[in-house]
Amino acid sequence: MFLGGPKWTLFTLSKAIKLSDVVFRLESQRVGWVTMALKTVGREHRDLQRISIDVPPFLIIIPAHIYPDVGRAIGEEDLREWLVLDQSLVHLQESRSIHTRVIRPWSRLKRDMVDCIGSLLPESTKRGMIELVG
Amino acid sequence: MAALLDHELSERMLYHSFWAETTMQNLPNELLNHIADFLRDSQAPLRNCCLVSKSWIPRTRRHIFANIYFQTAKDLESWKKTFPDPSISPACYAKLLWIGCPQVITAGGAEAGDWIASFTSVEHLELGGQDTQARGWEVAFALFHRFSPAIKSIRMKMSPLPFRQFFKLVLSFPLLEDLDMSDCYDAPIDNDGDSDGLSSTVQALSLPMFTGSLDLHLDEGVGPVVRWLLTQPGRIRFRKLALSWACEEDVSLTLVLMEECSHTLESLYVCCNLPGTFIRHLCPHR
Repeated sequence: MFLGGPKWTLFTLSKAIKLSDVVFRLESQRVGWVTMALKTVGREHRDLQRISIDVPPFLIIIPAHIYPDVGRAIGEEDLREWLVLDQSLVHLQESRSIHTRVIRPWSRLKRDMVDCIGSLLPESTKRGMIELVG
Repeated sequence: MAALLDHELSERMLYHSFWAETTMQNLPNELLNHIADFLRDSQAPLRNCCLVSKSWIPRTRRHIFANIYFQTAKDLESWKKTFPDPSISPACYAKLLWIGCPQVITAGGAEAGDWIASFTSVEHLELGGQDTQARGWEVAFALFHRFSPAIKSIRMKMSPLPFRQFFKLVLSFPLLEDLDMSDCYDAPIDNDGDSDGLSSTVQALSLPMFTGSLDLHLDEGVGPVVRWLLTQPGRIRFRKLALSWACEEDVSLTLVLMEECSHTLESLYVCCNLPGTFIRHLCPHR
């Protein structure tokens, strides 16, 4: 779905095989480029231990009681991108034991953050794979 | 029981005789240095230690003057007043030198070169400031050219910045490992020739070591810096890249840079701030 799209969706990690730590800083709710990059992680990335997603402030201030339907809040298309990312993270955790962190800017909003991330990355959250740091 | 008491008594006597005979002078230097190292974050105790004896001055000054900050030209005046002779000032102990604006340097007048040169052991140089004249930095860079051979990292947080002159400065530090530029935008200066007196010497130099980290968070994207890095002779071996994308070309340049550093790159941070990924305005669901 990204073929022929903007260049950031073609970002690849395939050449950087010594990587041990990767941080994706989001400036919007679009995460398709992150998923595409993670799909280029292969067996040769033996040292890769941790993937971090640095979430922008506007995304974590989606309180569940105001936005019960995250899909409507951020848009169905963007939510689909998050769910695909969720699957990729689960796959990397299961196949490679790569740890996932979600970096949040404000600790006082932890409860809302948990709710929000639980909706965006449901499977990873359910399996207790996500470490929230701030 | 009596034997046990005798043993304890003899141990105590031995202990007390050791401390009675042990004075500051005959403690090993390594131990004294270790004591000063423990106090590195406590300025008041360090200053007291500095008054113990002449032999304690170097080991305490190493920490007291480790980080030097010049926010304004007034700070420099104060420094020069306290230490009028650059050759015997504690500048040689500084590991980090932070300069808030080019006026700090240009205010040094004719002796500016002398006091900059007195910071012989600086490993981390940080230059910052907003709304300053690019021309001011051009003068400052010329004075900083090769000023400390020990420089390992440079951090620039200023605007505007004459990139071309700054790149020349970078090339004059052969041991440079880390480069950090944020909130800068290029402000080209008209004189493109040798008027700054650096071009001919710099052309003969190859890239510094660059085995540390590259941090680029610039309004106009990573392009100007990465393109410059990729066109220099010599190999780039960064272990860490932290890049903020501002245009689509930044993605391609990041990929080229990652390929160039593929044998050393361990840590990657990318911030996608591209047109088309704008923040959607959220509307409460009703």
